[in-house]
Amino acid sequence: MIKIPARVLIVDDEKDFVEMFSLRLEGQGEKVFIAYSGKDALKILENVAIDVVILDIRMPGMDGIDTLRQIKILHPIVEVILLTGHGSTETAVEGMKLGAFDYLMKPADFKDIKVKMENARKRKDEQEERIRQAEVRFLLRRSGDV
Amino acid sequence: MFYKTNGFKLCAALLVGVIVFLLPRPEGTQFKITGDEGKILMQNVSEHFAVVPEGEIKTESYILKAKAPGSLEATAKFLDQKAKDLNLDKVRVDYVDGLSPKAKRFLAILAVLVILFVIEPIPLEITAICIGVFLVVMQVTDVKNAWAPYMHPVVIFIMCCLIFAISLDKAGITKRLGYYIIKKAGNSITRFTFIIAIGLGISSSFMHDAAACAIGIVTMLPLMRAAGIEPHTNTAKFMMLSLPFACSCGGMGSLIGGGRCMVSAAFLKEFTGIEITFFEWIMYAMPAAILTTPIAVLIVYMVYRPNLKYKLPEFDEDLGPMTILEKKTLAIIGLSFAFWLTKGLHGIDYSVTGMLGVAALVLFKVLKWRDINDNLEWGTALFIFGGGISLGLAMGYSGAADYFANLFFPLIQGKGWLVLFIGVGVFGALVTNAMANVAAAALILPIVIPMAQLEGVNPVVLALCLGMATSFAMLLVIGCPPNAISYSYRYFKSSDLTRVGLVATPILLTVLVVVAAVWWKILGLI
Repeated sequence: MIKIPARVLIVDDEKDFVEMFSLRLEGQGEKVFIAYSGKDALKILENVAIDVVILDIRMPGMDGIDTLRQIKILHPIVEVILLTGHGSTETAVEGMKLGAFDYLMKPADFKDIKVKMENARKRKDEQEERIRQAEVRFLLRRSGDV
Repeated sequence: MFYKTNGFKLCAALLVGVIVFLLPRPEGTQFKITGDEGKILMQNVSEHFAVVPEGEIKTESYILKAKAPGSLEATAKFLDQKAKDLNLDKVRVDYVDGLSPKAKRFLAILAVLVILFVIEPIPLEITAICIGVFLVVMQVTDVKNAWAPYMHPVVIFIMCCLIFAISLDKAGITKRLGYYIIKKAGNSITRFTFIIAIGLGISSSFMHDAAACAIGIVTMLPLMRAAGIEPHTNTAKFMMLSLPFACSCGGMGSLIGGGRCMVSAAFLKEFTGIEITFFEWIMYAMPAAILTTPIAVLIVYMVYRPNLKYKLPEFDEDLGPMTILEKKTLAIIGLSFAFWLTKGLHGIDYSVTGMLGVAALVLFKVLKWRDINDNLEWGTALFIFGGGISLGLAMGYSGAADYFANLFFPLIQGKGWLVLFIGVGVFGALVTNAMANVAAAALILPIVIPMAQLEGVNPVVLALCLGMATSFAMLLVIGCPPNAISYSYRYFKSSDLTRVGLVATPILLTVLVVVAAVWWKILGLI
């Protein structure tokens, strides 16, 4: 199989965690983008076609849930995986009701992250393919040709 | 806003039809009389009419010119009445430079339909059904004549080709072809794109162009994504635009390359009785397809120079040996092709041998009826194509086409085939962007075939020209299915397609003219 790199955006204010994590993802062949705050994340999302966002719930300033809300309003197809610490599982559930794909407990096992990320990416690809097919049908009908 | 509602658009279209209907009708001054063997009518109306051109009448029909145009006697109605009074049952009076009431009713219908086709207040399929309805309601023809073209042999032939495409796709042969070509293509962007686009482009001559384009993109896209080629870059535009353009160009290579070719051949046969066989079409058109396909890719390359830093990864998927299903499918379709190619020998129509192939596909369990039912574009094939043919034929038998042919003829009189060819080519290539190919053919061919006959040009040239020129639907995303499929991946903007289309259309039309002037001359067509 040909490896198609996923565009992953990691959003967390803990710089050490972000760096370690991005190195491992890059080692897997993914394309990693980094934001240390919710605001930065939204800026990057505007400019780059991100596939999956890995988003820490607890951040100073705009917190994870607010960021998630904004992401889902502005980029509804982008999949979001939430990172939670101990004691914030409830928030994770709330996040998933708001449209997040799944959540991960920190410190997360890298294998877990990889699987969930791939599933999130797959769901986004499938959704995009459905959108594309709907559009093709519309355009083909417009052309009236066979 | 109220003027954006479909109801308003519909009313506007009908209003235009009413206006056309109320416009004064040109009676003309010349009338063609057929079946007046004893020249009885001629002698009886000599007070009001003179025969043109003067001299001996050689054929069974002659043309009368009114001596006092505008008078009550200078009408077709008067001639008709006179023939009835004289008990000349066989005599038929036709308009030459005037518009018959029937033709005028047809033009009113046409005005409404063209507006409905372009602004689309109701679905295209319903508009296409309305063609039959209007023709009967406005008494242009009877019920049978209006509906029969919806099941014209060419409509069935198109369905066969679409069903073949479904079976090729289901058996996995389209995929195998895509993989086969992509493996030969290597990993340099330029070489890769040229090989896959030209390979699939030429294949489009014998398969559905949209299917060829779709499989090309589906196999190419993972490689592009893996290589990190971003949407909206020149490299992405080059790769994603080369494929649909090549497949459109290749589609003209044989009769089944696209509905446009079959429809042109069908109209030619309906209006003149001349048939272009499957084999002849390949002989005439294949060289043009082989030339224009690489040229189209080259034009896209010149407009959107790819970045050579990208290297595509090795394509490592393998499909294994051919399955029995694939072999069965290929055998059946190959046999149908053999029947089509040898029509000159056995004389059985393509639609019949084609449907025999479809029956075999179901019999040998390549396809289930469900597959056909769910995947065939019934609306387009049956209604839009059938309706287009009904419209084109009505244009002929209502007399409207002859009226326009006589009207436009002075423009091209004495100028030879080239002017007609260029006119048809340019008009065809432009109109097909905004309308279905069949509509373009239905509007253009009925008018230009009589013009060609008046000028002494072989009408085959024009039918071929239209079928081939309408392949160049390169200005709009909705121009043809390959464009639409490629655009749906959003690797280029619709204006990117228009930009390269503006360069490609005139160049490719020129190539077409050169092929006609050289190759068709050698074959003796012109």
